[in-house]
Amino acid sequence: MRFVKKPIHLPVNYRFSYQLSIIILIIQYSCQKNVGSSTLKLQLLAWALRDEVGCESLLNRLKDKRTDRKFSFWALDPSLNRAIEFALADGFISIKNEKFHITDKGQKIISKIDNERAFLEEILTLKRFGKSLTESFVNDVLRNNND
Amino acid sequence: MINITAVKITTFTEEGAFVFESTFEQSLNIIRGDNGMGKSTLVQAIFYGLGQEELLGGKNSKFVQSCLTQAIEKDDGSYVTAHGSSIEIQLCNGKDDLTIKRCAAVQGRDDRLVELTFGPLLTKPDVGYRKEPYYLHDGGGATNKSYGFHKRLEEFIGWELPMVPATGGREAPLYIQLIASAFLIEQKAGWSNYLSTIPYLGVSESKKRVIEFLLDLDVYRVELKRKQNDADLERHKNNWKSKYEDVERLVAADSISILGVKRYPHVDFDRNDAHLIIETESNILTLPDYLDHLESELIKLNTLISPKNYEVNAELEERLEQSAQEIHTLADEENELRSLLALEYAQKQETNNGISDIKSQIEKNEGARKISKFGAEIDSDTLNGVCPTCHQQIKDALLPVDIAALPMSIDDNIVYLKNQKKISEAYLSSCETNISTIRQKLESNRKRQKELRGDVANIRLQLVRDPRLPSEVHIRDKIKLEDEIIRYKGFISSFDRVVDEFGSLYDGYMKALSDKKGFSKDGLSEGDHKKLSYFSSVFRQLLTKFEFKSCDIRFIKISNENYLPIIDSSELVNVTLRNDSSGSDFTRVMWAYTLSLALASKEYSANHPLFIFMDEPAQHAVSNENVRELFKQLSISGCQVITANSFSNSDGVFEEQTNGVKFKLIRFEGKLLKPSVV
Repeated sequence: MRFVKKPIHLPVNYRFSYQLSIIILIIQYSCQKNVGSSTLKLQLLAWALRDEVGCESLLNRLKDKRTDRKFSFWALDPSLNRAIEFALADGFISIKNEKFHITDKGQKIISKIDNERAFLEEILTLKRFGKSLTESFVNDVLRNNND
Repeated sequence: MINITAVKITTFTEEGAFVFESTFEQSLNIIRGDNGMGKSTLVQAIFYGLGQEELLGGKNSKFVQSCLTQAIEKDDGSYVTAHGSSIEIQLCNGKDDLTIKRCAAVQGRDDRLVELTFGPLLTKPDVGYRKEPYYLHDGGGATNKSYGFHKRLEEFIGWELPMVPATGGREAPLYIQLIASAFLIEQKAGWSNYLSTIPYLGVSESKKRVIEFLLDLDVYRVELKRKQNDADLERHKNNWKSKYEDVERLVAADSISILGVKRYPHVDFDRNDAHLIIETESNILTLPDYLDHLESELIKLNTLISPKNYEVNAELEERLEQSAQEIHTLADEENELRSLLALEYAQKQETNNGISDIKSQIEKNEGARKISKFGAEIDSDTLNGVCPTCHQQIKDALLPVDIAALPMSIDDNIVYLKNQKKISEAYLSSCETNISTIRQKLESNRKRQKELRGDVANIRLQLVRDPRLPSEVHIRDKIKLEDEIIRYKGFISSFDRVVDEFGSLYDGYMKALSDKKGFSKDGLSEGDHKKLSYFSSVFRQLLTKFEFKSCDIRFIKISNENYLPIIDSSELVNVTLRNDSSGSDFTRVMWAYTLSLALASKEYSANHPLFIFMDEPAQHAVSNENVRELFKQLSISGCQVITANSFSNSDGVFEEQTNGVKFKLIRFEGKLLKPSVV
């Protein structure tokens, strides 16, 4: 008897090309140019893109600024961390002051996405967050969550 | 057609106004300015004045050079603060003159405001011309006739812009900004691809639509007809369905069903085969047959004398027992049906959620695929499936190292998801059919229960009445029978009417279906093929003149699919010319494409405005002879061409590139904007 390995369906967040696009889109649309993004911020926004309900509650939390407001659980995605490492090694993003920035090579991905009109839904969501979601907000959310 | 006859830029500063002013010829105009002296300012001012700054990357004055809006550098190198600028452009469409005046960052004046003067205000100043304010980028800018500047500009050029398909199934006008990207070529991004500065305004396949419009191809009209046809088919389908459902609702409660007609139009429909049928305890009959049966029953009842109570009491007792039994069974059945229905609803909801999940997965995967394929164009290990550090295979997957699973390739994955979607959709439609069958059953069940309960009550009443009176139950039976006959007659006549309507819908549907087959696959008419082949031949001639070398010119043609140049030989099929050309050769391709598009449109009196703007056409390492050839071709093209050049800041280069070419020179020494002398 012989067993042949059949290829399995891979959820899209295990695709490097998807996660790379997400990382770059987050830095582009939701971070100040000179600030860049921390790993946690990437994780938080990537989660918001995965989880519709979570996304709305995060938006609400961002709107009314009240720190006492409890915020529902958010989850880290280990595959995003792997994607960040690959993206760094391949030179799509760089590190400065512990924050990630888009390199020229990464910029090419942005224009490719623009040209192809890909990831419209993701971009729309990120634009709703805009650049007002700051690093200190990310830390707030994290602290709140742990209480 | 359209020409720019004159341009005037006025920048308001603390030291008074700084001005640039020039007229333009109807043929080739060469603007010569050294680098850093304000050539780009002039180019941007013209784009801005024409309301086309979206080709520079955005709306309103934010995107024009700072010297027009913030500070200008004087000839001696010092700066003076600017309080905004006004840009005036005088246009001619061969018949009338129009002068546009638009301000940039002037306090108290909206950038979107455009003042139009209906006369040659710059060349023949006169206060008597009619003036009107217009608005830009204002939602209604392209459609609102009374105020929209773009709408007014379209009319002046003599265009009637078609409505074209846009994202989300909408229709949008083919905006003027989209078309402009075909003849206003800006230096930073404009030379990198065909129509590369085309703004994103939600129009699907916008480049294609622009070329179709400029060459006035029939394919566009064919496309419209095709869409009309699709809409017709859809309309017939919906009409059919709603008629079908009307009948279905009418007869549902009587255990009557429709035979020979389906829910959607079907090609084997024959009105003689369409019947209502009824299921009785013993067999299945068409409704007219059943009606005959009922009528004979009625006649039988009428001939009998109504019995007295004492004669029928024993029979009634038995009927009572039977009815009670039946009610019991029906109630059980109802419960069962209700729980089945709830189950089906839950499954439908779940499947629906599943489908929308799969849809979003497909979209994400398709986006990822585009980026992954892009890895071949830029130098990237990871996107090509290799780890940049250890050079092991990673196959675009981010699984932990210790999982030995073999993931599908992204293409397979998309196919897989699409199949999943199909399966779910099939399941969904079976859910819907189940739901409607169950509901129908429930309704007839309840109706029967109600009827039986009424019977039981009546029989009980009669059993305690005077036995000498006539039997009321039998009288009721008769009345019920009469009612039934009337109702069924109604069903039959309305069904006949609907079948007539089905007949005419069927004819319309079949006609639309046969029309659909008539559309040629590429949608191009004979005239379109002629135009495109002329376009191709002019394009090839120009490439030869510009000394294009990257491949054999004979194999180059304009694609019938996207109207862009492709290489089509025995070895290379449908390779885009862009990927296969060197940098400087692609510049030649862009020259030839831009110009031959105008020439082809001119040959067939199509919609090109015969106006071309080329900002710094000498890109990459094209030789001086090539540039001279370009200028020569432009000067004899019959179009108005304005080109801005630095000539490498050298008189020698200027001499070599323009030698023997007829043109109007617009030269500014030092800075573009000079203090105005009053």
